[in-house]
Amino acid sequence: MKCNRALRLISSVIDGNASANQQRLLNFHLMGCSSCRKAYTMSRDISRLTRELPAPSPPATLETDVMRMISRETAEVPTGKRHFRASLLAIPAAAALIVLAVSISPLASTGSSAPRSLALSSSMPPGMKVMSADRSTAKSRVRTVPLSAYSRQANLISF
Amino acid sequence: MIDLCDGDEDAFSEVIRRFQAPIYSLLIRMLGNEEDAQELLQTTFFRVYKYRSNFDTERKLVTWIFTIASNLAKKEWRRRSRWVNVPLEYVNLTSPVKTAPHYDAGRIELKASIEEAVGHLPPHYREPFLLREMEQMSYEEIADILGIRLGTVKSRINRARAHLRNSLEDVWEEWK
Repeated sequence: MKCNRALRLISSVIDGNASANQQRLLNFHLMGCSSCRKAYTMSRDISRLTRELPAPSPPATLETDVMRMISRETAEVPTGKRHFRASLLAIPAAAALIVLAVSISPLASTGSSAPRSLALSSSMPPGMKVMSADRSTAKSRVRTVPLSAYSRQANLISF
Repeated sequence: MIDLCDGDEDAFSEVIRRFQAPIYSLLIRMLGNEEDAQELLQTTFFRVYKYRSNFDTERKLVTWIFTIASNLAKKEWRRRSRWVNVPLEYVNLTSPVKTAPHYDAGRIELKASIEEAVGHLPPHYREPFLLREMEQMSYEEIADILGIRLGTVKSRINRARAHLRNSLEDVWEEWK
């Protein structure tokens, strides 16, 4: 056995995790190698003395402090839950507003400004024609289409 | 543990009484000061209570509690952004004042040197070494607590011992 393997085995032997064969091999090596023997003795002593190191005393008020922390947390939970519920309600409300805004926007844009209505011309229902920007003439020429045609399109866009 | 999961306060008090000393011993040696160790000790037990329903009954209670404490200590190291040395000089756990009737200066000095040398180990070597030596945990339990492989535990403990041999050689020679 070489020294580097012996040094690796020292830990296992001290911790009682080495097999009988490994222990026998290490002992055999230690008989003829003073530096590994020293490493083994040192490690064994350090291990024994580390186990004797004093255990510091935890604070006497620990249990009370933890209980206080828990009661503070439980007192705060309902407020947190309320906020959580409020935020949960806000999500569908916001979604409904977006859907509404999207479904209204094509209707609003057709009559208000020419460039918008031009841009929307491709998404308009069949039979609908985009008129000029002049409102007075446009009103007389615009052919009305049922509102359902728009809302169907809006639904398609939004979903 | 079943009582604890049901929210039984007596069971929780028993858990605190049973584990406060070993957890505090680990935290104080990992963090290097009493104030942080006390704060994290309190947080550890608070989390034990808060997440008691998440406890996997296949696991040992001791390893679960040590895992919580170890994770809090790691978080604290990250916050401090200094992973290398957490000096223990001002903790003074092993002082010559606390001598036994059969006063042994050399032994006390070696113990104080061990305490200091352990405090200077890199945290990833120090933690498995302390769990092995102070709490006498098996390699398997240490691997479970730290979330590392068994081979890594073995090599880290071996390296911790090699570090300690190097730093304590002179004191040990005198004591011997």
